[in-house]
Amino acid sequence: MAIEVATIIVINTLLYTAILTLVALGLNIVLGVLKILNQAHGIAMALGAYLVLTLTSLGLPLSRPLIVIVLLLAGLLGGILFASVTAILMIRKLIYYEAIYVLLVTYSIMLIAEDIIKFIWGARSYVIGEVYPLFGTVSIAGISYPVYYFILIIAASIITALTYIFIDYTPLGKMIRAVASDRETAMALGVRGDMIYFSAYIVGCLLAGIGGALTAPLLTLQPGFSLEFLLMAFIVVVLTGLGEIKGLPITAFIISLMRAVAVKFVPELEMAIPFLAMLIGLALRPQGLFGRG
Amino acid sequence: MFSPRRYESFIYIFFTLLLLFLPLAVPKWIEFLITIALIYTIAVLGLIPLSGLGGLMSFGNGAFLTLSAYTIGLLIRYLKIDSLALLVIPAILIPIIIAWIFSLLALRTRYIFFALITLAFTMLIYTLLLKFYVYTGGTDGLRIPNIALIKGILDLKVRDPVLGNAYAGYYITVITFVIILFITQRILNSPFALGLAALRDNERRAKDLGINPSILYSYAFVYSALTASLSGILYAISVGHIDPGLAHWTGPSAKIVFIATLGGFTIPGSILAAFIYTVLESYALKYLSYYWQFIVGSILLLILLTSPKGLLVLLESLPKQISRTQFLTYSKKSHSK
Repeated sequence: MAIEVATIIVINTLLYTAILTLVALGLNIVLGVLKILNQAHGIAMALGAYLVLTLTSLGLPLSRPLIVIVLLLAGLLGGILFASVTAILMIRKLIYYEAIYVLLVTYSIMLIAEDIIKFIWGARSYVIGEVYPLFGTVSIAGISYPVYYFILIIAASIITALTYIFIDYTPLGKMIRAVASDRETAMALGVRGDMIYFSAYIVGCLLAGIGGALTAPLLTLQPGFSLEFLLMAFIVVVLTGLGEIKGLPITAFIISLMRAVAVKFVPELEMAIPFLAMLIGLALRPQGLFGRG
Repeated sequence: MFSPRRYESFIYIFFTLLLLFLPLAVPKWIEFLITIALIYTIAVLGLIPLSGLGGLMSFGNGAFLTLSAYTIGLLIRYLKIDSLALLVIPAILIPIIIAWIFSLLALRTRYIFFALITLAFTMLIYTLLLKFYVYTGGTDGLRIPNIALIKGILDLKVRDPVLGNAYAGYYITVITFVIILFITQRILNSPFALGLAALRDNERRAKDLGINPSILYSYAFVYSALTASLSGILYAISVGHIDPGLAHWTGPSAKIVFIATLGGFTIPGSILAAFIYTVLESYALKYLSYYWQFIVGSILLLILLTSPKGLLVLLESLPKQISRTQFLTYSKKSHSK
């Protein structure tokens, strides 16, 4: 019994950590570089998920490798679509506004985008049923799990690792870090601002789009579904430290673990515990667990 | 010489008289829209000292509004109290006490962190109301019956007509609005307001001058909670139905902050913005019920991007005292880590 409970908690935690890391990482890269806490970030995720719906309903002969390609493609498309529509507003205008004001502007962007999604895909709820059966199930400690869970965890981990490699080791990634830590000095040293803003924004949106696409088979797609993930990503970002990229997966893991344990033992507090953590975390350490200063 | 200050009071008195006698001339639905707009205005007015003067943006209003509305709902449901006068006292006291305790925690933070911590608090209340559905009714919410003002003494019910087709709740709302308007006006002209403004401009210097930030900010925060709880009571008795969505960050919390921003954190601006917002939202709901968010969102976006000081541009010619209180500057980002 204890082993079964432990397995459920471990798998749920890993699953949630994988998704949350992708979304929160994108959010925090944008926040670090552009200083924009983007409330419309969830829209990139929703677009990725809805594009999976569209691509799987085209009637392609779906096989295992093809579905992975379809998922990634939908994620990339969703991210690029969202980024290209909003980038000019973000980079040219919002970057000069105060943080709280940005919250309001991105909130109204979210309202608009939610309705555009409703306009295209309708207000009904969808379930993408084509993906699970392709991969079958696996039995661990007497409970069977869809193999897709593990594919998601692995894929998300690879993408997270690639993002960290990109940020830490490539010249562009280093410039992004430089702008994030000190905008003026980086510019004075010859970093081209617009290019860095744009690439950071694209990377952030792509991560959210891929997160949404990979998560889509697990979800019921309906208007506003991304809001819950966005809120959890918010909590992870705040607890890690605004704009801090290092250590983000650890915070995501802590939050996911808390949630998974709460779901098992005190289901009433499942949603409340992350917010309580954010509240206490902000009061005791406003700069975040991994923030400096 | 022309004295704008005296002029402003006349406008308010005229506005109040208009509100008192309007129900004789207009149909009931307009009356209801005015009630909703005034309910928002009350909460927004309470936010002016904290956010406009003190520079701390609070998303906690939705939480206190919901707390007082649910205090009423739960007291009616479990203790069968059916007199508004008895319900009002706990419905104001409980949110205020919670606000004061929460302020001890929240006021350790500033800037965007304060906005986020109050947002977390609002969502905490939302999830608790949602998940303890056995007691709170969950997403179905609670119905607020048509209760008497004072059972036995004044048996007039809140949704019963008083004058023509004007119901009692409307007059209670107007009276509360006038009282809050008066108090806020006094606050904005007090040394307390100057202290808050000093704290916003430079907290360290203000401290050296002997201003205690935690006391001033907690007073301002509790005042915003007080007005939010009054809005909650008025909302509950006028609309007659409450649900956890009131505490969701996309609900009244965001709307109140929005209206305050559109109004440029001034009294006349807030009143104007609340009325425009309410009318806009209900007409968008009427004609484009599926896509009302699109309409509201795009108009708000347009206003926010074209005039960062809010609808105040329309009122530029109004009294000087206003410009003294428009404090949140949106020019250059002062993002402090």
